[in-house]
Amino acid sequence: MKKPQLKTVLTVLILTSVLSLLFVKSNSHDIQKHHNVITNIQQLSYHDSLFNEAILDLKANQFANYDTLTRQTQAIERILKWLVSSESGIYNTHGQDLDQTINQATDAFFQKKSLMERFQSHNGILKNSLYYFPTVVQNFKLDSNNTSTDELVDRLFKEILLFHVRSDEKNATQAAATIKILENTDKASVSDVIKHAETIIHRKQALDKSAKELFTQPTRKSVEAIYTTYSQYNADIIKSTRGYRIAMYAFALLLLGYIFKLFLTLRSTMTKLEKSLNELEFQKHALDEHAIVISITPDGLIEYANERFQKTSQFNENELKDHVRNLIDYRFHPWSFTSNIRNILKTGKTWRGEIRCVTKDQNFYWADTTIVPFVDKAGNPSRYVALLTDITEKKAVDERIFRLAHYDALTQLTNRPYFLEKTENALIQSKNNSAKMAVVFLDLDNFKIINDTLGHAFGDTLLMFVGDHLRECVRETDVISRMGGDEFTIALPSIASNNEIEQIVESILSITNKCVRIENRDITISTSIGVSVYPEDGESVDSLLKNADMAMYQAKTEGKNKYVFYNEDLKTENLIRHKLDNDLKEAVRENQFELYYQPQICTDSKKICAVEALLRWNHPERGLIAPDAFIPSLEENGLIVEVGDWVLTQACTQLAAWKKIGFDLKISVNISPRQIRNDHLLEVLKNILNFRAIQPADLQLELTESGLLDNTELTSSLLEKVNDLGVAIALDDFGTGYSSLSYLKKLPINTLKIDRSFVRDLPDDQHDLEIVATILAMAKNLGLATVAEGVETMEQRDFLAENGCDYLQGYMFSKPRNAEDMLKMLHDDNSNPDISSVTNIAS
Amino acid sequence: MGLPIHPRVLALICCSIVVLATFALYYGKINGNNHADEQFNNLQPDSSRPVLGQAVLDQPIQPIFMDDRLDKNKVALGELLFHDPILSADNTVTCASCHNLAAGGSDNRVQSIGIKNRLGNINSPTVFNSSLNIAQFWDGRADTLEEQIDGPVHNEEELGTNWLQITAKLKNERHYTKLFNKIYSDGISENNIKDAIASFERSLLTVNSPFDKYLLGDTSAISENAIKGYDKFKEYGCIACHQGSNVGGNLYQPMGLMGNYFKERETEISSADLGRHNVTGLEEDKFVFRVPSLRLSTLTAPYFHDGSAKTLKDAVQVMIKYQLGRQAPEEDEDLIIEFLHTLVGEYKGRRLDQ
Repeated sequence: MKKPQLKTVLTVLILTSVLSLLFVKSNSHDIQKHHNVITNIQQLSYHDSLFNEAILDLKANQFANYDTLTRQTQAIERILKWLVSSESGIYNTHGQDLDQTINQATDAFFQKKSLMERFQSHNGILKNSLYYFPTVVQNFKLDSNNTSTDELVDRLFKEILLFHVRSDEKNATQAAATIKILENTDKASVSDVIKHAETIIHRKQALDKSAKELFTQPTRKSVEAIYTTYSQYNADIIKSTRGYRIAMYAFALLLLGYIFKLFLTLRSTMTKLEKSLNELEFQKHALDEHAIVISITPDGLIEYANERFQKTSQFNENELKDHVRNLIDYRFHPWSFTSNIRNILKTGKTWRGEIRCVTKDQNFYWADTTIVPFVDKAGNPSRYVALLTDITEKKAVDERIFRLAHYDALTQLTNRPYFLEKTENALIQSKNNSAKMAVVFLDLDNFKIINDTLGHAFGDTLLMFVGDHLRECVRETDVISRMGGDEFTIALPSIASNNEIEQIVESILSITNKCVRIENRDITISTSIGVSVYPEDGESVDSLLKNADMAMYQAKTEGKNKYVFYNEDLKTENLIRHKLDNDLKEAVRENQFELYYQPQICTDSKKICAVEALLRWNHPERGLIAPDAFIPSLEENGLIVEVGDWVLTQACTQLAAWKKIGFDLKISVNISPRQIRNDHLLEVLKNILNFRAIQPADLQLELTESGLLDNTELTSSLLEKVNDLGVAIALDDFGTGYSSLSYLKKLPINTLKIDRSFVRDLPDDQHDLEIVATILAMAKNLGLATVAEGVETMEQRDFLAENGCDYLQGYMFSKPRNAEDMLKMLHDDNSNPDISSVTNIAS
Repeated sequence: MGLPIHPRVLALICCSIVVLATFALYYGKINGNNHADEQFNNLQPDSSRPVLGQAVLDQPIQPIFMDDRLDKNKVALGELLFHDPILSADNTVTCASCHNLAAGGSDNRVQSIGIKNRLGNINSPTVFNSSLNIAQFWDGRADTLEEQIDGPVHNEEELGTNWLQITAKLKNERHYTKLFNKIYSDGISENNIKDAIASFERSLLTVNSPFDKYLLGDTSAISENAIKGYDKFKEYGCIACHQGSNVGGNLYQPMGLMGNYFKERETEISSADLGRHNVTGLEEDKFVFRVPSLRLSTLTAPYFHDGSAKTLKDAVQVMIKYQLGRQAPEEDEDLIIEFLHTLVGEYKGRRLDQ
């Protein structure tokens, strides 16, 4: 860059110098100066003439003083001095010819002046003597008495006069001769005459001589020589200046051409620049629309920020001229964030990344940022330019996508895959750190029932509640996940002791103390928890989860609302459970179930008027199995619905058979809570009533209090519909569950079955006695039929009969028996008028 | 060649400098011509001088008139310098020390006193009307007033300094720098100092003398005796040399034309006595002196180049004897002296003999 600059400067300098030189040269003929020189030369000549004139006048006695001569001399000397001075500029500059002529003129005038001095001197003395001469002559004559001398003096006077007038040397010679004669006369008084006469002669001669010399001085000639030489020289100058002027004109034309060319270049450059500027403006506009642009000094101060930045950050232009660190959101980024960026930039590398920035109102926005350092010649950054793109929305979408992919939408807990991933990482960490880690598996108690009976929306709300509760219980590092349904898992990394786990788990169990209000209904929930611990209970996430699940299952089995730590024994139990599950499935497939019947004795007629159908499992290996051992499993795995349908159909079929023979009986069938969660039951009932020869009134469905759990609208309307079919509904195990009297009011219940626990100690236990009496009285008042279960003694029978119990059931009359035995009993009963007197036929 | 910005600016500056320098030089040349203009002006007739009748012009003695062509600023500056001891080596002596304007333009001493109270070897002549002289000093060694200044400046017994010293001293004085710069394009210089002082000296003219008034027609301006004295002055031939506006000063004459003055003076002949010979080196110029002006003769005693005549009467007697080769009765001498008194004019409106 430097060389062309120097070149340009030199070129311009040379061009200017040439132009200036031409200007000076073309002006070297200075008219004013020329005029002065010519005038002075002419004046010199003029003064010389005046000088000569004055001399002539003086000589002719025309002039009485020398002032004119003085003035002319001074003027001449002044002009001569001027000619050789630098002011005139012609001496020592115009060549030797001119100098020589000036020198010659100076010499001539010097000589002339010198002669003038003499001329003046002679003239003064001459005049003085001339003035005095007549007086001197007269004085001599007055004193003299010698006529011959007088004559001589007279002759001298005459000759002097003639000499003075004629200037004729002859007169001078004559006068000198006369003086000689006079000198010989020794008259003293004559000496004065002689002295003045001699003075006149000599001075007159000297005066004439000096005047003659004076006029022969070549002053006029030398002045003419100056004039001629100068004129010649001047003509030469005029000639050369004309040449320079033409050159200057040509040069100016050249420059004009060059300027025109420059102008054209400039115009095209300007057009290009304008175009580029427009493009730049456009690009800047686009950039401003798209991105934040900041220019930062090496000290970190913002020196420029575009409008976009002001818009996004809400800071105005002046507020933005601050340290760049004030833009970063340190609620999110660590304090070391800026210094990390600076360290990278210092190496001259570009920094790229995402920054969360603050706005003026303490909001934030995400910026995809590129910071480019501009490095000076020394290698130090001279400024940084940062380009920021607002990616807040993208960031939010990303986050949503991430959440959708990794979190459960309902509870905002991690989902299964993400939990597995995180737990896997935690496990690796624990392995590396030789730390303990726990996996907690929990399942809500009875959630399926709640979900089925109260609806999914209800269930969802409950799950969210549980999620919130779990978050409160665990530490920040722990990972909670909803694995699906009502199953939750929690990974507890870095566990010091089982004690710590217990604390957490117990706090989770405390959910029972909480009450969640959903749709104006207060609900409490409990959960069963299984815990497995690394490294004792498993080395992989899979095994830990499986074992925790197993432990949870154990907790469920042990009565729910508790936690169980995994141990090796659980494995065995788990195997047993598995076998049961499989056996049950096979049982359904192979129809290994059988119905047993227990009669109900009518208190009034003392005859069998109804039977309760009871389910038995004919296990191919274990024999007959009581329902308590497998019903929960059936409920758990959902087979209960299929089995329930079968029970209902089988019972009705059996009843129809018996009725065909001629026995007028009613039948009671137990219904699982799961069977009344939808209209399926209604369909089955309708089917049975249509195709079996039984009346709806012959059928009664038994439901447990706990099975109803909550009287949802669905349950209520279903039972209503069942009732409408003409099928009666009995409340089983009355008094053991929640025993809400509101059931009795809301649900279409026809019969109460008093639980055997109340009957067992009758009539000795006063407490039970009062309860049973109250129930019976209440049922009577409500118009409900009553059945007492577990009647075993005569006293019990009598008490119940006395207090108005409608039906009795128990071992006193018969244990449950298969259809064949039941038929026998029915035959017997028909023949026996009073069955109540028969004691325990079965036994 | 592109259009880089920096070179253009730089080039522009260079161009400006060159062009300005050219014009400065050029303007300087034009300015230098001012002297030429002045020179030219000096050739013009003095407009203030009245047109004189032939009767006046025919007179050997001419009246003095102020020269209006003088530059008033230069005159003022010259006057300042004339009275400033800065021109002397030890800042004790001024031009006016020897050329006392109040005392007829000289110091009334036989020999003048210079720096360190040194006695000069010459009787100082009056500075008044010196511009009317053909040359300066008794021997006319200075053709012009400017040249004359060199004499006292360098003379060890007078100002005893040199131009280098003087210009340096003046340049230290702010007001002089200012004044010179106002008048002269080249400020303080030897030539300009001389020019200013000479200009002032050219203004030192004694005008309106009674005799001038008489010449111009005022017959009552001088007494009868003075008129008689003038007649005697002409009659004795004094007028042959003492003529012109300065009544002398414009020619050279030998001292002792009609008698041997130096022999009869009875003092040894000094180099100063050789007079014009010291300048021209010509044998015939020995004992030749510039004829002094008689304008202020009544004020400038003692007289002659050697100051030998203590009174005007002595001088008149010496002159009549040695120059005219005559004797005169005392009566005539008195008349002549009476006439000489009428030659004294005014400076700045004040007659110098009052």
